[in-house]
Amino acid sequence: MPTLEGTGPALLVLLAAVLAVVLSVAFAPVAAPRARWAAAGGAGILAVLGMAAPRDLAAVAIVIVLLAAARAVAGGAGLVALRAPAFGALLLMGGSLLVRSQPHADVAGPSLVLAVVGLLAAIYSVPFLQPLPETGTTAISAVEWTSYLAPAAVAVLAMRVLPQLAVAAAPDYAALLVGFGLLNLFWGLVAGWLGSSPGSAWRNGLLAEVGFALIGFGLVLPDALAAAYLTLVSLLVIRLPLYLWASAGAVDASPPAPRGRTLLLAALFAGAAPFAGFTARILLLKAATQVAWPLALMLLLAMLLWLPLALRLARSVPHSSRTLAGSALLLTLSVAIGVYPQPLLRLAGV
Amino acid sequence: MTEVIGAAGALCAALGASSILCSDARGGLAGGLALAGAGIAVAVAEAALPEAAAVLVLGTAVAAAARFRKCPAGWGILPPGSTPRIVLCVVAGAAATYLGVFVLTAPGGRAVRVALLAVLALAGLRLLTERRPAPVFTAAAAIAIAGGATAALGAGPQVGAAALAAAGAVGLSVLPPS
Repeated sequence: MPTLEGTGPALLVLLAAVLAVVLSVAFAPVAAPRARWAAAGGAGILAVLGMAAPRDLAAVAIVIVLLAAARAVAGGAGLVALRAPAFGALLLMGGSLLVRSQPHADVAGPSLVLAVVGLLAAIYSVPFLQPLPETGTTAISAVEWTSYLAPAAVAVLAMRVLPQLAVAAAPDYAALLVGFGLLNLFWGLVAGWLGSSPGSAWRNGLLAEVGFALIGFGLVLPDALAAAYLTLVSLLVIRLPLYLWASAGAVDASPPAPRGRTLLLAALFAGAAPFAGFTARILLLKAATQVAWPLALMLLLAMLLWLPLALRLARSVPHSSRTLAGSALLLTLSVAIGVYPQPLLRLAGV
Repeated sequence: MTEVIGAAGALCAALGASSILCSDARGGLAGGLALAGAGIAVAVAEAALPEAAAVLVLGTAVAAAARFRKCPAGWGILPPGSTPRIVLCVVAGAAATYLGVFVLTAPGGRAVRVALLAVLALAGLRLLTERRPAPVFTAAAAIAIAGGATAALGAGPQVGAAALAAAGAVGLSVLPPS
């Protein structure tokens, strides 16, 4: 059993968030709103810190409510953006209240469900999706919110929920996370395939990656946890900058992208070797075969379903000289993480 | 005697949260926030955490004053069409009492558990069913205070958690009403 306590997961997520902000802004297309990205990125880093620092889930819930209110007002997202995070915060507080009664009352299962579902609601995962904003909005999007907060939420799960988990509740925990993980994974892949806009494809691709990470955390085996951490790091460091560049670039108006770069990016999104996604997927498959082969079969199917979505995402990344350089750097980083992930995993305590 | 004081605090908290659920103007919203925060603080103090209770009272007072300045004038309690809200108050209050007294064994005493559950349920209902900023942010401030009390009753730094909640409630109360 790997060490799950300590601040390792939070440090890893914080490091990845800082790197994501720096890369996004440094290689942004000329027309991109860099100041807004830097501000949103700074808020994202604060969000990671705010969610990972408190020892109690109720304090984490307060931070989530404050962040969501700030996004609703200052981030221009509107009051409707407050609902899912507020609901998640309420569930987290309920879970925090219930878990205190654990030695005397049989409430381990309900408190666990409240904590996990609360975190999932706070990051807008399925079934708590928020409608995507119309094109041209300057609001902090639901995709950015999920990108920053999903790794933070998982760090909270690792540092605060798991250590309080009673042994008897471990199967419930696994079933809950694997179930939500599969739901997000297949929802993301199918909706990303059928959706009409690039924004929807990016959001659904993100949900599919969150699904992979949730399954990894649900299996609670060293390989599965390593896969989950690698997925979350690559979500922040690789996918978030590419999403931001894609959201800023006028994809339809620009000439076709160099085919080699598009293919390499498609391979990166699909999790082909030697990128970080490949290592994560292989580790997750290995863990799944140890637990239940039907799960491994479903993961294999999901990996195949990633291919069309990966091509679509790769085509939507704009190709100015800056983003070309940025893409090259991200591809190199992804290869480095995929080939030698040990330092990151050691930092996470796996 | 302390049990009676704690029960009075829980009753105040439930009444305050009910006022947040059933009001549309500054009298009901700011008054409800003040009553809810004060009730929670009394129940927290009864649970032998006077410092955290003092921080929560201070935060609640500033938040309620800020909300009073940034809301439409009047009391606005029980506007037409409030019957479903009254029913929700009764049902949520009864559920909070049952859970706090008969199901949960921690944190703190029965009074503080009932107070926290009642405020979380009633303010949460207002937040999730409302579209106007003033009631939404008032409910969010009450939830922050209840969350701060929950965290203060845990293992972490008690005054720090209360201070986070108090600062959060004040921040939410200075947000614009429209």
